[in-house]
Amino acid sequence: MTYLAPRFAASLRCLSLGLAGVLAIACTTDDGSDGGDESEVITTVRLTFTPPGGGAAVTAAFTDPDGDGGVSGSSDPIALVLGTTYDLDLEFLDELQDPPEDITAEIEREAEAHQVFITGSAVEGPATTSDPTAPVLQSYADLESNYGANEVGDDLPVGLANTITARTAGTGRLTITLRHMPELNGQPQKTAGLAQMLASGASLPGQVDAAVDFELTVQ
Amino acid sequence: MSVVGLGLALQLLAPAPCTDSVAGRVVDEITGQPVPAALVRLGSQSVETDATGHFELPGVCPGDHGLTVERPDYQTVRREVSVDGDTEVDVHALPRELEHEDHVLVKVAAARATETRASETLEGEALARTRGKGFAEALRGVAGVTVLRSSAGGLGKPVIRGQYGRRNLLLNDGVRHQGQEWGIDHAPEIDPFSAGSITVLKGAGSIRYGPDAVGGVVLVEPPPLRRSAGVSGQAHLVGVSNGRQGITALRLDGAHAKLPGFAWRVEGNVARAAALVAPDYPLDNTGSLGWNAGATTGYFGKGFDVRLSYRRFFQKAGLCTCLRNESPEAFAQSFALGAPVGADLYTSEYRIERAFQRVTHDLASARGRVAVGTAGELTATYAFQDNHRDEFAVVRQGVSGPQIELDLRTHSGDLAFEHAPVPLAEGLWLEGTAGTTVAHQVNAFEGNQTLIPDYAQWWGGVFVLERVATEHFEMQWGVRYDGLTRTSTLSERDYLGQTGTGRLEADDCERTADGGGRCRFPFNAGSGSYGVLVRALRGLDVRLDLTSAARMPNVDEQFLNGVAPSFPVLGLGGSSLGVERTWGASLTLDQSHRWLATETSGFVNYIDDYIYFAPEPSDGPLGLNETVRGTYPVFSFRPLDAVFYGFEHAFEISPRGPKGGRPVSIDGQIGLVRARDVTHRGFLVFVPPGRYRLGLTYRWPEVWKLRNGYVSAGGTFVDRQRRFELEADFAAPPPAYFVLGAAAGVELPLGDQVLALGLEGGNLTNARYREYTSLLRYFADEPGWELRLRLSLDFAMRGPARAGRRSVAARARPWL
Repeated sequence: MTYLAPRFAASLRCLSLGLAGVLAIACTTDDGSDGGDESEVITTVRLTFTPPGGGAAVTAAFTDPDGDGGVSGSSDPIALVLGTTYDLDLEFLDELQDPPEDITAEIEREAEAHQVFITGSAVEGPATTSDPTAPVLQSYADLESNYGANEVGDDLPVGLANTITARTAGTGRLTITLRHMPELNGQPQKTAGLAQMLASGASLPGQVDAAVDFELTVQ
Repeated sequence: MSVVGLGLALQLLAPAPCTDSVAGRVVDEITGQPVPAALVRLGSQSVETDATGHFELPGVCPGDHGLTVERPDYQTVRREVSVDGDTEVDVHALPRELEHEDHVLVKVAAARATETRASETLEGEALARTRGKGFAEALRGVAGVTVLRSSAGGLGKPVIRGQYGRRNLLLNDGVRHQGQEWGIDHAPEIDPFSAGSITVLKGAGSIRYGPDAVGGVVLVEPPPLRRSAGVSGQAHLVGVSNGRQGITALRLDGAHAKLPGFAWRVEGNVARAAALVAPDYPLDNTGSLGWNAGATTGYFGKGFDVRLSYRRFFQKAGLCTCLRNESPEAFAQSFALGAPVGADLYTSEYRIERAFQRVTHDLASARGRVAVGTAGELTATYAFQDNHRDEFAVVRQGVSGPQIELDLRTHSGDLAFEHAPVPLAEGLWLEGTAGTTVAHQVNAFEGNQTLIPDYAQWWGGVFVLERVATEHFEMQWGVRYDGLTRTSTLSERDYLGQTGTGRLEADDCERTADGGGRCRFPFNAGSGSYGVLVRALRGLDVRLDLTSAARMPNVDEQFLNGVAPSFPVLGLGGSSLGVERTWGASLTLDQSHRWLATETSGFVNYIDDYIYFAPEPSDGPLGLNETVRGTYPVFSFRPLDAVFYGFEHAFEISPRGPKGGRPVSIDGQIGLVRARDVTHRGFLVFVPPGRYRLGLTYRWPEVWKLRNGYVSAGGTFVDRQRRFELEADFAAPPPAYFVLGAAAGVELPLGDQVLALGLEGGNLTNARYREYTSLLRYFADEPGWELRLRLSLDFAMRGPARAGRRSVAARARPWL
């Protein structure tokens, strides 16, 4: 509402000019504060699978370097080693900016309003139905309190850090979905049991900030 | 309320027995309200006007008669009426409190240019009843007009004969409205309180105002400026239960005896609403805040007049929380639920949070009119419009500004010469207008993603419109030529994306210093129209209109490149699109019997290279696009041949009551539109389904001082759209629905003022429904029941008694 006062003043100024017969060009409405180019875009989702005790990390990314529209985005295939348990860390970037902007830090800051859900035919985890044949087993490895004080509700998983166990050889789809669930009318939309709700086929609140597919192979 | 057949030119003399009738309506010159209980005399006969201002005198001999209209508080009107057949007379009476010295001001309704299309005007009481409603909502009562409801609270755009947005031409005070009309969420930024009348011309083509009128033209005309000394005005106070809306508006008009010829007007209104409530849940975050302010000043000189006007429209409107960015799978899943996810947290509050739109629209205009000897008159108009739109999405807290910012600035100049009527033969006149328009427009877009490019364009047009009029027959024809050159500047990312996918030829553009492309596309088109009006029988007019109209592609149709907010679809333009050509024919029958008035109109529009937003084949090269929010289907603008046809019918049955007058009336409407994709033998999306309305009104006689009292009830049935292509839409059409409404109103004269009260109920059964032409239908139900209380005060303050100069009334024009 703060914008209203200067805008109204501008309109009065414009009005008086209009009455004076000086029309048009004088009546500009720029207010420099808006900018209009505020970044809120995710172009890149980067996955880093780190084996325990070091060793070469497996990385894969979905990128849509020109943003929505234009050329279609694409994702790298993921190859994991059977019998290995990985730490999976997620990063979300805006590469339309130069240098690229790391949105992960923003998500961490608002951990209580975000959650990552990992689904797809390659995965068994909290957000999927039970599927012992799925190549990997996923579990959350972080909590809201890892990123800051847990002020609202339960201390829930965020999903920026996960544990992935490559337990069965095979190939399937791995889908990473980041949901933004800010408080609505003072009530948290991010509540306990969302992953289980998703697994049971229910719709989740909030909105999708990212939903990208990868082809995952365990061998 | 259809005002059928009024305002027609008077008929001329012919010998016949004394079986003719003279019928008509007396309305207040200032307010446009009907004047009941006025004594109408014609020769030895007399009759009083009924509550709706109507009168009828049967058994009149053909020939010239003196007609007088008297009522104690009005100036007596004296007129010559030429009677031949059943004759209609439209009388404007000036309230006596506005009497200006001793002259008698009689305004004979300015004979409007022949309208050979179906048209309907909202004015007077019919317009008063819409006060406090949005612009599109106010037009909903017109047969053949529906509303494309936006997902933001209370906003929408009119749909005329199945066409919306860029395919309807909106003229605000004679100036072509220029806003961001390409998004279906972009409602026209027009203040309905500024209107003294709103006319909908249904049918393709506009020789006078230029391209884009495929569905029709909406003319928003302000009431005339004051011509006599004094101050008058209107104040409105409207409260609506749903959304706890409050609206207040004030208009002041003045003229001073010491400054003869000068007149002024200031007006403004403020509206605030909390989120609307659907039967089962509030439509969270659909609150809105809007205001309008304007000032006009005019000078009426001898043989010329000038007018300056400025107005600003402001609106901040929240988008329903139920609109969410989803992956295509989650979108389909949410839709199947039938109610928004998390609706238990929804509330109805005044506070507007992200996502919301904030729009300002400034319109400044200067207009002059001068008589060119006896040859005719010349009208020149200059207008500047600045449409500034900010759209704010739901974002993380580090972001404060809008995600999309659009600024559209338009300068336009318009010159029209109306030549004096030329007598061709006895009783045969040639009248006409010729003119030219030049406009320059610049659009600046800022956003975090590509969507549409910035552009600058020049547009120019010339036209000639002539008509001949005889006693029973009028004919009008016109030709027009328009040229438009648009230079769009694509950013590097946009340019590379569009040339890379083969949708833009590198040859059409020159590279800019920063790696983008500057692409220049010219468009040229001619238009023509031919119309005939025949007064076939007594009380029966037949109108035929044939037209060929052009529309140039908009910038989004050429270059759209991005994801629409809230819809899981990637939209692409087509840079090779050409002019869209409509071949239209419409036939309208106006019939007015003693107790029955009807208007029936049928139309066919064949649209050559109709620019249509439809899905690319999913197995084609562009079919699907991987975005960061999932794999989206790709929709693109492509030309196809389409045919739209349909008809509207409106009737009013108002038998004479036992004590005179017409206390009971029944009115009804049917509006049907069909559309076919001729190229692919399919259907088109967003074509409104059949709509049927029936209403009953009782007008009670004057009791104590209460006048113009009425009570009415009516229902609207909207069919399910059965003609659709699921592939071109995101969900199947919703089922048919029925909504019930009722209204009552009365007027109370308080000295020089008139207080009008109205109470209206909408969706009284609290029906749960979704509307096919509403964006909300994919996410939530339409709002539930509402009560709307309206208080209007028309007031006049006597001017100084000192003599001023006599007003010049004879050349009055609707816009003055």
